[in-house]
Amino acid sequence: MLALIAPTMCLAAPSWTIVPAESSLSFQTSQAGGTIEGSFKRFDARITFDPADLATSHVEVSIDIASVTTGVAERDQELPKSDWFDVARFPRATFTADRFHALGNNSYVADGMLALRDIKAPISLPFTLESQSDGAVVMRGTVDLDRVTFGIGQGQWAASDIVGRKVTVVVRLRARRSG
Amino acid sequence: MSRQALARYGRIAILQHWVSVALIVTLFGLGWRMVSLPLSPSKFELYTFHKSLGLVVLALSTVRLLWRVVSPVPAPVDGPVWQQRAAAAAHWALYALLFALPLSGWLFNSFVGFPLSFLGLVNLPPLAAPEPTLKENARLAHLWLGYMLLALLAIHAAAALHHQFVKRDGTLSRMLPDLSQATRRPT
Repeated sequence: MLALIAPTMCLAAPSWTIVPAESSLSFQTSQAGGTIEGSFKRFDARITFDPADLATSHVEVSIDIASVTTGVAERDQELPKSDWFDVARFPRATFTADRFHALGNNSYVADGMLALRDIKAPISLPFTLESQSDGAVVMRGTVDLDRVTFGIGQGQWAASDIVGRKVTVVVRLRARRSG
Repeated sequence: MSRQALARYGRIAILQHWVSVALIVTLFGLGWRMVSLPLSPSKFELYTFHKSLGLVVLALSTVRLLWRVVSPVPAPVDGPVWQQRAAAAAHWALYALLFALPLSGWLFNSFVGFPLSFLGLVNLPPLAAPEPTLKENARLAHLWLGYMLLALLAIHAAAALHHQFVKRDGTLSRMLPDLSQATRRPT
């Protein structure tokens, strides 16, 4: 049995651990035409990734929705409610990706699924990788999402753009090889 | 300027005055309506419209004040000196409030940390960094400056109507378009 597993493990892409203090999951949208910014303060990621072995690479990011903040109390007290993230029923969102392709120049695209609220939809996240002198890697990715795809903003909010439908998600991860 | 022209306010001053009246009436209406609505896209839209019109008042009042300083105005109407002084004080207090009210709203918006967009077209910077401990003070300042403006406007309008219809000295007519001149001009 071990003999069967061991070679597989050797072939698999290396795993990486994120450095939370130097990683962020933020977003930008609009409120009544003005720009607003927010972020999810708590998330974790399980990453196995090898640029030379994209076929066995796999990423799973789990986001604690209750950690969302936009820096303004009036907004932050609305976001957990059922019209928006409905944190009581959907406390976590996950992004899973196991299909990657290289675009050259350390640029890649991850084709994955985002499960947010009660909706699971495919998204493509373009990202870049940058090796650091200490051996860590910094990943940067940006993707525009339509909040309505995931039911963020129910009822009248779904039909209105007064809280911007387009949400630009900006991911920045600093990760170290852990295996 | 001829002496006859000084018997009344100029056309530009008259236009500025009545546009201000229309804006202020609309702003009070929007203000009361928007705070009473439950959170909804319509509430956001009313707030946006209120903030945008407030910015128009701020811009218009700047132009008006400059115009008031550089262009001649009619002499005070006859009456007791205390009334003339009270009228002058009320006019300058109205100008002060036409600046203080929009600025206090802008400051309130800044302390809360909300963006400020003129009709969704142009983003304006905050007047101060978000400060949750001061937002209630700013909200109260905006509210009470609003009540002060309302009270002064009531006195201002009552005085104008009193002059026009009780004393019959044509005070209000000086701030109305000169229809006799307008109809006479083509001949």
